[in-house]
Amino acid sequence: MKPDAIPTLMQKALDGDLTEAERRVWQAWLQQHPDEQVRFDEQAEMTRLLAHVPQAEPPADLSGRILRTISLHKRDRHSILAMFNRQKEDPMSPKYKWLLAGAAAVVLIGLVLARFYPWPPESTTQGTIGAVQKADKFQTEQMSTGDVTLTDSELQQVLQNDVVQKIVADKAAMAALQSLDGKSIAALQTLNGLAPAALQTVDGRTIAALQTMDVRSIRALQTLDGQTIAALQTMDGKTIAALQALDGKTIAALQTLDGKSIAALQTMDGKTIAALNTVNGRSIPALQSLDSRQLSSLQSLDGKVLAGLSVLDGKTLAALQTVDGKSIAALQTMDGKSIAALQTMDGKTIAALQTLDGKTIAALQTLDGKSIAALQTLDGKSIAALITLDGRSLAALQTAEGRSLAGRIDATAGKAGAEQ
Amino acid sequence: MSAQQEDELIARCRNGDDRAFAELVTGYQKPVYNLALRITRSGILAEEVTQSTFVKVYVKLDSYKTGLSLFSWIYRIAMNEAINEYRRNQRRSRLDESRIEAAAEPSFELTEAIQEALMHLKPDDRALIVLRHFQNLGYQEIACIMERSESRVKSQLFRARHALKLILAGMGIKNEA
Repeated sequence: MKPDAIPTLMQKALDGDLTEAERRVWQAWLQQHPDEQVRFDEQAEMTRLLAHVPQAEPPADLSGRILRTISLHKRDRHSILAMFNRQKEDPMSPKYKWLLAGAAAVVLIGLVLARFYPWPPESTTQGTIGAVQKADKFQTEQMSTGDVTLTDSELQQVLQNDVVQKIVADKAAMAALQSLDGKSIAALQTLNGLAPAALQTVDGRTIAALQTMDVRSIRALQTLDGQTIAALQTMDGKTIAALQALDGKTIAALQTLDGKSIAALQTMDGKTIAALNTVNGRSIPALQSLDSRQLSSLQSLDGKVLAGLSVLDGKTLAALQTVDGKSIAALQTMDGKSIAALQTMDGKTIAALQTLDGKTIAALQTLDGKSIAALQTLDGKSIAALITLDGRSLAALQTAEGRSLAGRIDATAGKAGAEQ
Repeated sequence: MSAQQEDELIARCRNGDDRAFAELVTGYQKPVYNLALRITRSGILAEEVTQSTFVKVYVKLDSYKTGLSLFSWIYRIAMNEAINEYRRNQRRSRLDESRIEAAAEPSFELTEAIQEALMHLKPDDRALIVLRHFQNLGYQEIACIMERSESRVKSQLFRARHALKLILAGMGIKNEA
């Protein structure tokens, strides 16, 4: 047999593709070459071992998420490609250095103020559930009502700043910001492709969407005339949460997609329907109270899920904690006001949403070092700040009485201070 | 899916038929996800790779040429995405235990050992093993996806399996199946 025929025969033998004649030749050759027999056995063993690895099923909602992402960008197919390509840009171009100085100032003011007004206000939060108490230490500090008042002179000073003038003169920055007759539309995209955010305030109504495009988090918040729809989805396959408060009625759903827990809570006119389903096959409990007064707690004995729900006089406190270290969620509605907090304890996401009389305070922090975002709308004025902590982006948007200021910067965190 | 069916599907996608693209995603997401999962060993990263793969497929649909099978074309994108994502992630941080646990994989000891051993291979070799042994692709198709000759695929596969054997032996794993 020719030497160059050996690898071919061995490959065929491994694949089970030998003809009878080839098999005889191959067996005879192996008998004469014990070293090759060892090599062949080794390869065959690996082939058999590898055949044991099963196919994994993708998450059930993966195709839906893919299609939603596609539809988001459908209007301009090439904008997606451009986004990918922009990741390669120098994050410290002079344009962004200028933007950093302006944006950092606004964000730092907001973050410093936020330290003095922790969220949620203790007066409105009743931490009756262990999970809520546990979540407290992770809650993001938040700005208060007083912090958003800017006098005209202050705003003018900022707007007349040289840095702001640079931003205004920069086409890329202005393209991201547009204010028309007291209405503001702003879009923010960090050029590393990690976090696009959009905020739109129109006559005191606010639509905000934040998406960190590392496929970790999508968050949308919409408040319309005191009604709030919020959705948070961490796309790491762990958590989907949705909260909708409409006229004092609340629908909340939390789903952790790691196959551990699905929970849904719906309160309507003081009546409560709650269902908790742990999909690991251990526990499927459901709770429904229609007399407006209900207190219950649930613990599944597999150590995976702890849930507590308390409804008193049409007010609702709910907490869900999956003890596998993945999620803590808390929801509290009181007379049409809502406080919700969600924390996935896999180190990825902390989110907090508070709506009080049509005013909205929201904070989202992804703890994987990617992004911290805070949004506060009060009486048609908006302050939003987004910081991605991977050292690439710092952004702030502030609209006050129909005036808008936006800044964006991509830079390494270490150099940000120096540029200031 | 036959070549003709693929061509029709692509044509519909190019014409903006949402259902056609949904068909494409539904049809190919599982192999793409599995490819990414084996290369990255992370359910989270595998989802990211699957998503970014189909976004790129969508964006680059116009540049797709019918000479290459749709399947191979998508796989090539997915493989490059997965290897790139794995390398990016390695640079960001070493794979921590939680991430490994998060991989959407049954807690099957042998499977885990194989996956662990695979992670010690070079990403390129790992992709080769995955394409051949997990996805059961033919050598010609693998050669097409990896843009190298069929003979090189075979010899590289041989070396990769040998390396895997040594790694598994070092882990004390023998085939008892």
